[in-house]
Amino acid sequence: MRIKDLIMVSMRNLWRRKLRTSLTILGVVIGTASIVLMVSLGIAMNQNFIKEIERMGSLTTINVYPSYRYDPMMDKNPSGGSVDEGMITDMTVASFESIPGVAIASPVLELSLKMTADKYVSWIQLKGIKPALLEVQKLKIAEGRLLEEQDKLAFLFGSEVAYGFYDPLSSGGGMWYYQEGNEERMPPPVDLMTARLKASYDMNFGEKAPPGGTGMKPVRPYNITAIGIIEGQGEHAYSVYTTLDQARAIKIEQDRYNASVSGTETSGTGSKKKTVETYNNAIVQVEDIDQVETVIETIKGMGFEAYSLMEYLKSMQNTSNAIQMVLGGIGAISLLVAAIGITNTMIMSIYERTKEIGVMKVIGAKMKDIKKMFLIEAAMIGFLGGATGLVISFGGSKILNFVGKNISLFGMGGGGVDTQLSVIPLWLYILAIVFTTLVGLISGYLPAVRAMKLSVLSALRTE
Amino acid sequence: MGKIMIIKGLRKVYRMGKEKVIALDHVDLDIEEEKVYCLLGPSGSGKSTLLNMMAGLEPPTKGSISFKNLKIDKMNESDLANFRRRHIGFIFQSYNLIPTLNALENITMPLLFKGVHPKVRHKVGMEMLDAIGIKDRWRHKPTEMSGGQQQRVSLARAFINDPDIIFADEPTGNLDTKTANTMMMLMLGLVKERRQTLIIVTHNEELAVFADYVIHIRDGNIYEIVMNADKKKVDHSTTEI
Ligand SMILES: Nc1ncnc2c1ncn2[C@@H]1O[C@H](COP(=O)(O)OP(=O)(O)OP(=O)(O)O)[C@@H](O)[C@H]1O
Ligand SMILES: [Mg+2]
Repeated sequence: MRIKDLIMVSMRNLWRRKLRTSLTILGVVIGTASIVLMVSLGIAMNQNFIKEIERMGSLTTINVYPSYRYDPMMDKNPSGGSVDEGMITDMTVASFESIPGVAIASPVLELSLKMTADKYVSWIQLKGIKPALLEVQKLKIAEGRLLEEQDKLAFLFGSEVAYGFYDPLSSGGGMWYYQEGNEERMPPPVDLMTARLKASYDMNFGEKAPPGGTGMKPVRPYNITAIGIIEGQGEHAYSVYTTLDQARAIKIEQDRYNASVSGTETSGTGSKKKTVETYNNAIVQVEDIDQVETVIETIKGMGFEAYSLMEYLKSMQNTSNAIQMVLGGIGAISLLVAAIGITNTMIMSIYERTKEIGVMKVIGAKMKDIKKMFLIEAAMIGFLGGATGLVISFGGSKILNFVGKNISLFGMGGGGVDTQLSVIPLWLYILAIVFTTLVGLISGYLPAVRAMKLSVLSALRTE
Repeated sequence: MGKIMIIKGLRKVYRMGKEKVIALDHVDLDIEEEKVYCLLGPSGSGKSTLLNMMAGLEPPTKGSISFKNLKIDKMNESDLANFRRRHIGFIFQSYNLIPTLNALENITMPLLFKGVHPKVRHKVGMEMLDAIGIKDRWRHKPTEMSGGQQQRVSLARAFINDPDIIFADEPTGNLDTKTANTMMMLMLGLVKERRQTLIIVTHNEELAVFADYVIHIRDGNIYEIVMNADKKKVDHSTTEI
């Protein structure tokens, strides 16, 4: 039989029993729609997780913080060595670096500074690091170049830093040139690469002097060179980097200034205990994503706090997998019921058409033609149900997303204007239609074989 | 004239639980090409059983049936299906048309299974309808036709494949005498014109006069074969002429 004729005959037979066919198809529609919508929820959830993590940074970066045990009041180390356990020093950083799988470890010395770029002003958080760290992290540069060891008074800026600058004289306030939901952002107020840059640890630097003055002697700001702008929106977007040496030099002057302002020279923690320099935190870059967990365990074993996005991703993925299993399971059950419905319908129609099958066999039908006829009928029920189910899923997904925009169900926006509740990628449409057709074929297989094997004479004798 | 079918030592036993029903036994029969045979006998004598086995609708318990050089008794279901499609036409007493299809579609069903193009099917089908004189009813469903018309459609369906041999199990059983006669004439006309072999089962002795040979069956045995041309009785053990 020609395939066109087979399809035509099958269609006619389905059409013959319009009501029964459409009820069976309805079962498949419900099954398909529930499975597709459920899976789409899971996909959307995963996409949101990944988006969120991409916003946050690299998965092979571990941030190490001093142990919480490092608290002079609760120090459990009565022997009182010169350096407390759990503090980050050059020595501990060196020991991180010797852990297998670690590409590089760098201490981070953080400073809060005030900066001016031409007439604009901003607060910045300066991070002193080993320049090699950025190289290992394969940091991409939008403009300029990466940090180098010999750089003096040179800063490397994150892509968002320029947006933090504001005009202290303008009344409009509007310090953020960022418009929600607007893809086309305005350019930052100032181009850091070309502007004249100054930085100071004096927090009044750059502001309008209050009437009557502050009564403090002004600090001479540093003249800063911008060596580059980091590309992208990742973890580096709001950072300003310089070399450890440079950060340390500024910190020493800052400490001295603070001491002189407060006038209590004795409060300086440095003079008494600081025989070894300590850092705010450290960044450990791991070579391979598979090693992140063991490295974290090792560092924690050394008495530090260590975090990476991997842990976050893991826990989010576990949650998402569990939810997807439940959702997919619910959908699968309804499709299973639909599959049983197809089998039942096919058995019914073979029962009704037994005599017809016998006649067809006598007048020359091949065994395979009979089988194909019924298989195509069953597959068609699956296909039509799948197709209709997808149309409904498409609509359902749109509705879910519309509702989801107004109610944040998962409360994990993260500035996610584009956070979606339900995502149906093209592959899901294709997979669903192939799958339902396959379900039809499988459900119809046994009945079709039964029809094929009917004995001619007994089929003819049935009424 | 060559032989189209040779039957040797045919036996058919139906088992009903522990009871055995011997429907046919010790049947030897040669069918010659381009002849018309009539199977005559009382009800329950095994006419239909013999016809069905010759047409490859059910397997014999014992014995052999050959069609030309094909061993029908040795064939599996799938080979039998192919044999039926290629070589035989079958006419039922109760027409057995597909109720959802119209006359033309019913007639061209065998061509559908052969994979003939729809346009060709339509053309050949219409010619056939013309030949049996119900061309104007081609769109009618079986329920919209008289018994005689339905049997004509059924007859056209059996002939459309241009088979070598046509089997008819009481084709006129449900028809009145006049219609039965025209039906017979139609069938004989087609068979002669196309040089085909025809085997008819009937109760009706009047119809037997149209056949070249009348095979009398009683209690599952052929007890005589009558050649009609000169009304000469032929002993069944010496069927060969
Ligand atoms: N499927 C079957 N199961 C059991 N016995 C059967 C079956 N088919 C036929 N028989 C028996 O075989 C014998 C021959 O039956 P068959 O149908 O060949 O008779 P027939 O000559 O065609 O009769 P009729 O003229 O009434 O159609 C009968 O005794 C019948 O009861
Ligand atoms: Mg009979």
